[in-house]
Amino acid sequence: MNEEEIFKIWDRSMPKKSSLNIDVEKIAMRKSADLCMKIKKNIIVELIIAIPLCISLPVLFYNDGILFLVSIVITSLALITGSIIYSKYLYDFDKLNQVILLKSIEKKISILKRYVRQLNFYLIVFMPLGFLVGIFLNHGKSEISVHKILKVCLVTFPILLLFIWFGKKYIYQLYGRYLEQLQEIYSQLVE
Amino acid sequence: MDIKFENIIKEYHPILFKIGRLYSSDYDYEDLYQEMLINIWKGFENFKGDSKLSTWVYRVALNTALTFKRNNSKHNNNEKWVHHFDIPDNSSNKEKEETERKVVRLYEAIYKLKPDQKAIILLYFDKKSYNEISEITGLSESNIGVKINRIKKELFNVLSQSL
Repeated sequence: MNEEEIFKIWDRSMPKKSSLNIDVEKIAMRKSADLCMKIKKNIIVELIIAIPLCISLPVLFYNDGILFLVSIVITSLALITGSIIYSKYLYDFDKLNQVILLKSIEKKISILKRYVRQLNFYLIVFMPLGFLVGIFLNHGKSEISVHKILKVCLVTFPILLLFIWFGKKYIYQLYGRYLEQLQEIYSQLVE
Repeated sequence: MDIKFENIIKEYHPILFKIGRLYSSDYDYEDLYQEMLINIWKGFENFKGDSKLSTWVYRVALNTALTFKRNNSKHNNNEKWVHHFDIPDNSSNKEKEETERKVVRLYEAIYKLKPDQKAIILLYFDKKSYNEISEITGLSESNIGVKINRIKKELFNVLSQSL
């Protein structure tokens, strides 16, 4: 096959009209399977949970004049900067597939990297912290001795490590492998 | 909006079909095709006409295809779906069969290329200029020239092996 023949074959390989099946209503209702779009939804859910928590902070210091004022200022600042950063960030998600290929893949890689980092941070920092808080709350009424702490740590530490190991594997299966795929495509494009 | 969208899809269906066939297996072709339609539908509201509509459609479709999460377990069986092509009927049965065989060989050869190579060669076969390919991919025109030559060599190599 020479190049001219390839062009001819390519031009002749048109699809049959019967293969065209558009149901606009269905398309408009269907959710995207794109992983970045799923991350966008996760971020929105996280924000929906975080905003009431932020707003409820000043309520805790309602009786303390200065702390109440400080918490209101801090919460307002956090909400304003958060809304500016996130509105731009979430807007970028909608444009992801409309920009040039290089930029789109670059952006998707950076979103995924950031999200994987965030999940790993939750896993490595928040989970042990939650474990420890749980243990100490459980022993709230009994006396805490060094011996007891060592005993509890000896039992919980391997379980915690196992949880973190499984968690990291799960994150890799969900996002890590796909991230590697994108990085490979990106490096092939720019090479 | 609905009618406009339908017309766009009707016009660009051959492009979406070809991209779909080259970037997915038989198993996930439908998913990829639907994903391309969803992204075109969602992006169409924001399309301001900064670029040609065809350039924009190629961008959305190729971005979707390149970053589509594939199911690696199923392989593409090109002979199975060759009947989806509209090979002109004015040729004799023997000629038609021969063309079908060539279509299968060509698509199998392109299917074996790397994802970025498929995108570039597909645009080249669709007779896009280097400038348009650059507007879609973001690569420089000189880089595109080099890549096309390299891909053509690889493609001819695969095609000659399949003879």
